[in-house]
Amino acid sequence: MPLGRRGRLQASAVVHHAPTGFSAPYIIGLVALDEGPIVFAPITGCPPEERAVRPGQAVELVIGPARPGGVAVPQFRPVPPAAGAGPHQEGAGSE
Amino acid sequence: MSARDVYVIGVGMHPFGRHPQLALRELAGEAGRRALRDAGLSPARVQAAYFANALAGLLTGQESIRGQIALREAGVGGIAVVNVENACASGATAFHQAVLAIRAEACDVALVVGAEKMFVDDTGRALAALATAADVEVTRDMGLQFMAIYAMRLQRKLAEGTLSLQHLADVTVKSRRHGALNPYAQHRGELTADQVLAGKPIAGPLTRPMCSPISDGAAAAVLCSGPVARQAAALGRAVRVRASQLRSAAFRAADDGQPSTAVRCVRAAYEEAGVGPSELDVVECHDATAPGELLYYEDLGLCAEGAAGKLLDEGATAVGGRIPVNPSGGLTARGHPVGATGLAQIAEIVWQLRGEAGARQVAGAMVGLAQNSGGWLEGDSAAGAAHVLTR
Repeated sequence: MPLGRRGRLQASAVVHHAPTGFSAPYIIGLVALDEGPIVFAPITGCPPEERAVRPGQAVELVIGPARPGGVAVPQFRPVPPAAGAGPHQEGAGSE
Repeated sequence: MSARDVYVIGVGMHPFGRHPQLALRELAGEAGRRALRDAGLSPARVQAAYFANALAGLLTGQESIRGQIALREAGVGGIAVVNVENACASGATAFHQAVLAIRAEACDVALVVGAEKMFVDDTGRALAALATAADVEVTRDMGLQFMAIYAMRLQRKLAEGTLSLQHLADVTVKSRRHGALNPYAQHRGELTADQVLAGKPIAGPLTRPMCSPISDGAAAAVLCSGPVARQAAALGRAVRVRASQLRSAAFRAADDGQPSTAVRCVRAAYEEAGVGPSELDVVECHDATAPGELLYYEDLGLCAEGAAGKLLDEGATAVGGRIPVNPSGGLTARGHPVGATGLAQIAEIVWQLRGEAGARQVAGAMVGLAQNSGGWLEGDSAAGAAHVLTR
């Protein structure tokens, strides 16, 4: 299945106590890709706070390390409101 | 009492807690010896043994033959020894293997021991080891932390308003109150809801007192066939295994409408045992965070969807209530040495059904459920086990 770069945040949590190698706080989440699959990924591009993101929010893929010295991994960041308009509005309406 | 009926005739534990001076084999040996003594059997009667452990390979470097090493301390050697690793569900998975062996009439007496030693130099290393109970090719270097997974599961309930922060605190207070009555529990001190909410944040709304601690400990059970159980049964000390079920995460487990691993497993156990959730007298469930217990109320069918907070508020799930859940204190108060947890749940149910649970005894308990979960895969528990035991 070919997958795009967009999805919607299904759930998220701020990690306050990190495994070795990571520095808290940071956000992890479950993202429902527009094509259907649900993937686990760090959420970046916003402050690591509970109110920074919310379920249903449009997010887009970015690739990069989630910790200093880590390998590049898929992450998601909130889509800015202007860029989030358009086709995504239909997706939200069909849920 | 046929050869294919399976009974638990002995259980034992090493107290859960921080035991830096004790090796894994010493914890395991103590639990195994206690279970055999409880069963009134010598180690020579054991024909097959199953050893549950999840993290020793990563935390101590001991791989491959942990059981053969550890069980020698319980006087068991020479016989079939199987090492069982199935994340936090390792203990119940090992128990399940022993049930299958006895039902297959491959043996009459089996010993199952689960042990874990998680206190190492720093808790970050233990957390990192726990995080390997996921698909590491998918989650490597992504900062997966298991308490955050529970926080994500709770997020929707909190947003809907069917659960509140007060519920998360209150269920933790209940766990600690039960744990205070359990001599094997790691946390014996009670907490107030305010103390719980003021705890150090771990993930999302979850504070440290809400989360199961890093733990060392061991638990064990002796299982046997009907004929061997007769003597113990005459003494009222045999507990029958009425259902033993093991499941794994379904494909695309996180999709809406897909029953969870726990739901599928527990439903199968109810069917096998011929009992429904309303007939249970006591439940031990996998509350890796105390608030996770609230999610299990619905998964196990103890209440309707969305009614978990109400069930807790009514006091139904406290000892003395209609359906006590985690009278042992659960993973949060008893502690969670991951390979031992499933067997600690079994031990608690056995004590409850025999009327030997002391100050935390559920009056007249006849039917008990032990539910154990492990790992994380595609948004759900990777492993799930459920056992129904009856007096």
